[in-house]
Amino acid sequence: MIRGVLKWVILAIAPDHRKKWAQAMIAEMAVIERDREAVAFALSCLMACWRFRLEFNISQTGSSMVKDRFVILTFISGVVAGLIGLAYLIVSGAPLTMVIVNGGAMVVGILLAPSARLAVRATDQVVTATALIGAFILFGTAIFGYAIEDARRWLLIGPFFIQTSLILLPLIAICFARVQNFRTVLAVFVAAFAMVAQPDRAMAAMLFVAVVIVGVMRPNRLTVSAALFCAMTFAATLLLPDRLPAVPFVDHILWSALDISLWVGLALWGGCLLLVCPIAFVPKPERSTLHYVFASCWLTLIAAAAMGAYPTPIVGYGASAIIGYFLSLIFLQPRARGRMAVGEGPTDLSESEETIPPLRNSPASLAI
Amino acid sequence: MRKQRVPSKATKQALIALFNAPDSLHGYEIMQITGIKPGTLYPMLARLEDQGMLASYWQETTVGGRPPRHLYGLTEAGRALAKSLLSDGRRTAHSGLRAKPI
Repeated sequence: MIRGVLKWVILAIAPDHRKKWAQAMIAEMAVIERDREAVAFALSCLMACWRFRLEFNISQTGSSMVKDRFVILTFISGVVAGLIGLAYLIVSGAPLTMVIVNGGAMVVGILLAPSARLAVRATDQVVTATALIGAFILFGTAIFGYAIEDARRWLLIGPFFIQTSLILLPLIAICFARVQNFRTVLAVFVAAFAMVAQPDRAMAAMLFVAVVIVGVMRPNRLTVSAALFCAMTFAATLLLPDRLPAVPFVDHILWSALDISLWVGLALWGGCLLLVCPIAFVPKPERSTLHYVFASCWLTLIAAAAMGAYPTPIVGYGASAIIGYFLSLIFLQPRARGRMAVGEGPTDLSESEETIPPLRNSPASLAI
Repeated sequence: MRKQRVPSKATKQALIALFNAPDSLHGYEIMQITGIKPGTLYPMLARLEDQGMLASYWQETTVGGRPPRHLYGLTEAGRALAKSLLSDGRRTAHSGLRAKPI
């Protein structure tokens, strides 16, 4: 009985090009007479099949990521910008804990993007669910989160202050750029309302700009109503008082860095703008809503950091933005038509319906 | 030119076991000779086959109801590699690598 189940699992896990090996393992299992020994052998074979499967998934995801010039440039930009942020913290004499938290966040982000891409298959259902879950987490933060001077934007996880909107709002914007249906619009409404409840002008502006771009590029009843609602919520955040004091080494640093040295200031500006740069390397006819929304999210955040007491994307209280930046890479790649699941597509207006010309693929120079 | 990676201890053991064997071996036999667990052994054999070091084929069994078994043998390239590993092993006796008798 157990042997039968294990045989079935071994065959199911092994990728197609390694099925021969799974069958070889099963044949050896049949030779082992003692049940206990056969089960131990089968369990170890199961590990081998997991390894085959993991190697296969990594090669598939890795090569698709490497082939997409925009994604790989975005990834590199995030790493370089993050390092510039760390260098700024060190030069400006920020506390060591801050350097560690920001560095740790960068490592988490770097590890999270490829591993999440491995685990998550970006179907319309997954994208929609992510948007909804993200939106309700933002709403939950606005109600139950940690508050400073009437601003309730943080979740206190252990010793870390996590500004959930910096992690989740770019992801929600990307999800909305990919899939526009009733549920993603609901997610946008909930997220926009959460930004008023928190309240957070910078993040409300980010969502507003992203949703307007989607509304302009893919105008329909859903996207226009989402844009109008975001306009109202952004206006509401402008009317609400924002008494949050500026935090040293985090807020207003785009200007204070220039006081340290012109080069430090220019490096910080360069690091921030680097996050927006990858779109410049996508030829104009190949740019999609996703590219514009992604760039606009970070540009809005940089503009907010330049104008008010808001963190830059590369240096933060809990360094949430850099995690958010890498996290949004998960759904950044335009989805291939071949990966569409049964029943998807025709009912929802999604990025997959757009005629997305393949980005200029580099030759397969990086073998994994 | 692609750089050849130094084989791991388990790979060396498997190569030497196959080299010393008079005939091709089944996976379970390689496991018993070398003590390598299947979780490590099969990915390693698959990799060796991909690299052209190993040849595999199916062997029909005479026992009814049992599926055909997979047999493994070294190719010329695999034999050359195993031979060089054995001579290296003799030179560095302290390496702890010993080919077990079959």
